[in-house]
Amino acid sequence: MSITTENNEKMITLMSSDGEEFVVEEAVAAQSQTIKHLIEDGCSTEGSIPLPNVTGRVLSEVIQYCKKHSSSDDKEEKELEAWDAEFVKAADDHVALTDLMMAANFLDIKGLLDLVAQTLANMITGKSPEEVRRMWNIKNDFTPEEAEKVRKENQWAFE
Amino acid sequence: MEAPNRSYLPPDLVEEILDLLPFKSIDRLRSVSKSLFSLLAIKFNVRPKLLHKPCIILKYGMKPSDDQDLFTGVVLSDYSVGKVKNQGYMAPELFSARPDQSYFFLGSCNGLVCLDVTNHCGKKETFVWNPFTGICRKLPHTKFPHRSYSYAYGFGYDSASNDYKVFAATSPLDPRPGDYKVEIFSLKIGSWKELNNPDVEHLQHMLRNGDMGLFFNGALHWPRPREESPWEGQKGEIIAAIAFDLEKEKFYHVLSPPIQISPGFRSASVGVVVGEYLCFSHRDCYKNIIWVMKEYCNEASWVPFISYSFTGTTFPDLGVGNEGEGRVEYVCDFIPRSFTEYGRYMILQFSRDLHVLRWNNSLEEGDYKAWQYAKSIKFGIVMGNGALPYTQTLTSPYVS
Repeated sequence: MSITTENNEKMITLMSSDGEEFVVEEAVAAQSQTIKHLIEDGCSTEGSIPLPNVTGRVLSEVIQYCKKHSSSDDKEEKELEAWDAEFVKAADDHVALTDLMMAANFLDIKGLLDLVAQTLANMITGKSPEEVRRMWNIKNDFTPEEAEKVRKENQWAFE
Repeated sequence: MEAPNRSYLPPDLVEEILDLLPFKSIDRLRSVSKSLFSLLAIKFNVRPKLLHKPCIILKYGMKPSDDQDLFTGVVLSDYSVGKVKNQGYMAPELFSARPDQSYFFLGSCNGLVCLDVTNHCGKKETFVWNPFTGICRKLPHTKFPHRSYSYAYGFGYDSASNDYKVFAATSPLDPRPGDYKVEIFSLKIGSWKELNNPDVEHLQHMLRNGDMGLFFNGALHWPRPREESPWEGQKGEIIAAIAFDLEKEKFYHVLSPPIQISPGFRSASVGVVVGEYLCFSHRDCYKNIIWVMKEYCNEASWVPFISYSFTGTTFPDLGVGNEGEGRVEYVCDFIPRSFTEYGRYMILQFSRDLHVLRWNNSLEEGDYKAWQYAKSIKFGIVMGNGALPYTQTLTSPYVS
């Protein structure tokens, strides 16, 4: 639903996958290219914009980020960087970060996507394959025979 | 309470992260899983030679129930019926499986499957998917809307540039020469390109079918149009297929063997036998005949391969079913497109069962007894576009 506040800011209602509703300024929501296009296509006129891939918990974090980044201009770059660093630190672990990254990807918010990708890359650096598997619950689907082949191919790549 | 682990990491996100990692870490990741291996193999130009099992992928018209998957994979070397990797593992939007979504196979090549997903609003997305690793890539939209009157598709590999290409051609109703549009997507470059001055003479014939092009010998092949009166040559040959060379990006055609066009002449199709030969099948009221071209594009080298009748009977010669049991359905469209990528398996449909025939010999003229009955698969009715052969590979849809 689009409603208007006293200061004439157009408001947009976003609905998360678990039915939580967030009323935000259009300028904040439009940080997401996906939402921006939905608004342009007139999808917001009939009720709220449903975001079936994003839970309420993740969406509230995304909105925090968008609010910060729509209210700051370039002069405050240093301050913004520090804020970003705190923001990903608060997201706590790779699980929350992965959720955030998927949401940033779906919502097409480049700044947030890059920020989270870099944070996750830093986390993976130096981890063993087993540790990486555990992080994302990735199944080791190589048979012992295949694993041996991979090992050999790896060797070859280094010779 | 929240699960301690993330169940999956979508591939486009993996790529984003990989781009930021130092080389040493990347190398360690190679042995994490097949899908990561595949991504990294492409990035570092290591050709994986792990598995090349021929398979078919089958799709239900709509999702049968919550605990059943929309797609089923059958590994033909041991006939195991298995899940193809999906479950939102790599492509949630592909498998959301709303009953009002429809799926259309555009082709397969080296283990990659190209397909269209159309949602209830008619919005269409095109994907390239490896059902073995689960990695899926969404392609951008074409410049020209391919919901027009006529269209044709194809997916294949260009060895000269080591690139996979998606072919999309379209024309409106009552087209003028300038209305024929051909666009080609390069998986390497990552964008669509319009073909300049497309060959209207060939396009106007192939666009009537709306068919998937068959990839063989570096080119896509579309069978001759169904409803068209045949282009008869002096010896009775007609156009068997219109082909498009993926490297040169040029059209050409392949002529059929000399055949009698009887009033009962119905449909014709092209396929690949034993991985090496282009074949041509046609049928009249009672019979289906398959020819094999022993030397590609040499029309004098067509030899008859198999012929059988199908109306209301079984395939006693092929050893499928018992006399009087099961009527062959859809066979005209299924043969020879149902040959798998390597052509050693043929899939026939009788009633609600699919039957797999396996080729056991080298190619000899008319030696159809080399087809041995192998397995029947309970699946339910598979409609025209419901089955697609592919091979288990680690090929990634992200080519670099």
